[in-house]
Amino acid sequence: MAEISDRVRRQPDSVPVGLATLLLGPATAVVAMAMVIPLIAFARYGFNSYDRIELMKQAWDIGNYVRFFSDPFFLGVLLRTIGMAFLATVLCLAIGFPIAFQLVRTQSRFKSIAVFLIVLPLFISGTIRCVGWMIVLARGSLLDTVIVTVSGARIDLMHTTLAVLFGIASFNLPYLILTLQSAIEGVDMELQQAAEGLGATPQRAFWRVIWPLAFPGVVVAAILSFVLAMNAYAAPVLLGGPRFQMMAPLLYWEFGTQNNWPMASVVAFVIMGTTLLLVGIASALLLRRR
Amino acid sequence: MLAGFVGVASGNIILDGEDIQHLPPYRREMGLVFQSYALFPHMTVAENIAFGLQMRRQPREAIASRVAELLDLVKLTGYEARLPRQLSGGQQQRVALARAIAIDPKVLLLDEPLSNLDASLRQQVAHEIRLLQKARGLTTIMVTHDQLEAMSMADRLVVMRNGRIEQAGTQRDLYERPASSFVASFIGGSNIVEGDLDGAMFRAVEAEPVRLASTYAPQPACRLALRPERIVMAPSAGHAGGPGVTGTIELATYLGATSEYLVRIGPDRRLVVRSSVGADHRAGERVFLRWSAQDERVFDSQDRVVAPAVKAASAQLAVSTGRS
Repeated sequence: MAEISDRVRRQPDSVPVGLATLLLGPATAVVAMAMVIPLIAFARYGFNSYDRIELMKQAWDIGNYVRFFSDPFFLGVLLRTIGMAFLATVLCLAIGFPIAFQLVRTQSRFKSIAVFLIVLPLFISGTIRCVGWMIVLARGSLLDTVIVTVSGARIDLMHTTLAVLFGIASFNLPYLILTLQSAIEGVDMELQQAAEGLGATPQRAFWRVIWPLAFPGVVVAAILSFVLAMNAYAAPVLLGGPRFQMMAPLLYWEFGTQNNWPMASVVAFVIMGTTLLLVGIASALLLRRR
Repeated sequence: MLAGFVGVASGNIILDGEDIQHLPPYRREMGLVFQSYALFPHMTVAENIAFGLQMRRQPREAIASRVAELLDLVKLTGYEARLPRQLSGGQQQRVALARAIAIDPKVLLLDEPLSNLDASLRQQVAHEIRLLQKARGLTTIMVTHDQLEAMSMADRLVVMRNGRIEQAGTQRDLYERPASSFVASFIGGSNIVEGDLDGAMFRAVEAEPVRLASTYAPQPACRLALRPERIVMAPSAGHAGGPGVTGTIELATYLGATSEYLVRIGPDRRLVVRSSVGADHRAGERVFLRWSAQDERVFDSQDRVVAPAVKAASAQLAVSTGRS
């Protein structure tokens, strides 16, 4: 009896199991077909072998992975990619945090305009923005002319690590600022006043109270920026030039130019694995609940 | 302003004979309790209370013993390792108080400290704050919108309106001798009737003429303030000519210790009458309302007190031609 009355009571606000399956089905199917299955298939390719004439040959072989991790070229690209992603993230945080913080605290009526200006670059494709950087940095550009006129020496800006770094950072910055903004908005600014009222200078109040509370959000924003940078394509290709290799362009080169699908698969899963590993370590270390 | 977060447009803030206006908040030595408590959510109760002491770079042992002493004071011993979100509203409030007192402030500033507590807890915390404040002899400034709270907790009240002081004084001063109709209605509650004053006759807008207990110099656009609990109600017959006003009871509410009546004296003009006497009046009854001379207050168009011109005894003579 109790069971029956229980079921009667629950019925109005719970969806029958059959209907739930029906409703969730299409979305699940799309994700499975467009994402999970290709991913598994592509992972499988990594264990095939490559032949210049026959291209991909069925095999169960970890040779591609061995080659990746023993070849200084591949390892160099991986380390450079991690390094660039790390530097770009630090640069983004250094620029983005003060902006996001000011954005939260400001009472200015231009606040919405400021937010709009930050989002504006996202309306333009990342590739086109990189072309914009090329125009700024290229030989004979305004910036170049100014440097030559002032210093008398020519500093090549194009095809440098610095150019790629700025390219990636400028690409990530809007995402980072928006993420940080929402994180900082969750911190009650009255706490700053409370700390100052208790005798903390504004700086100490910030570091003892506001920063620890905003920190988890900062970590999340940094992770977002890091993941984006790990997968940067346009900036290294357009601003780094042919000899500046990072993982995403390398993946394209193996896949599209070399037709070496097994190696492309390895590169892809190394990016994914490394990113997940680093993000996992970072979250475990930094987001630990005290 | 007192805490230093907002600049001062004009005037000085003097504490212990010293102008503190130019001091930043962190040098003012004020104990702040915020309406939202503003406890540091990532710190334990003990760390919250210790914060101000740490900022003063006191030795570790001194801080520990002071924190223990304060926890004992606000009766939260045993809770030191909890985080603020693990405490009830009343407990958070007490932590906020302990944190503010920890620094031995020159002045304790309470910004609506009770507004986030439920009614039963409110009174309890109010008493605790009051006892604490008495025991420590701590100068305390408390901001509140609740006049009962103000009446019950203060030694001295300041009623402010639009940033200006309307009246300052003891509870008795403000209740018995309000300086404006705003104070009269804010402290304790008053019936405010608008009308023209002519001798002892008060011609209320769209209402029965009111015969006042005292006589005043003629004044247009006045306000008459009468406290509900100072109005005496009687059956309407046999009072013609005496000071007071006739009306009809519209609502009668029995409240236990008192009864409250809504008496209509004009098409859209009602007076609240509160009586502690058990005599029942019913809705629809015609009644006569009276009060004594010291319980009526008249304010002019600038909301200043109008003093009686002639004493109450001669009032009846002066208004023989009053009725219009």
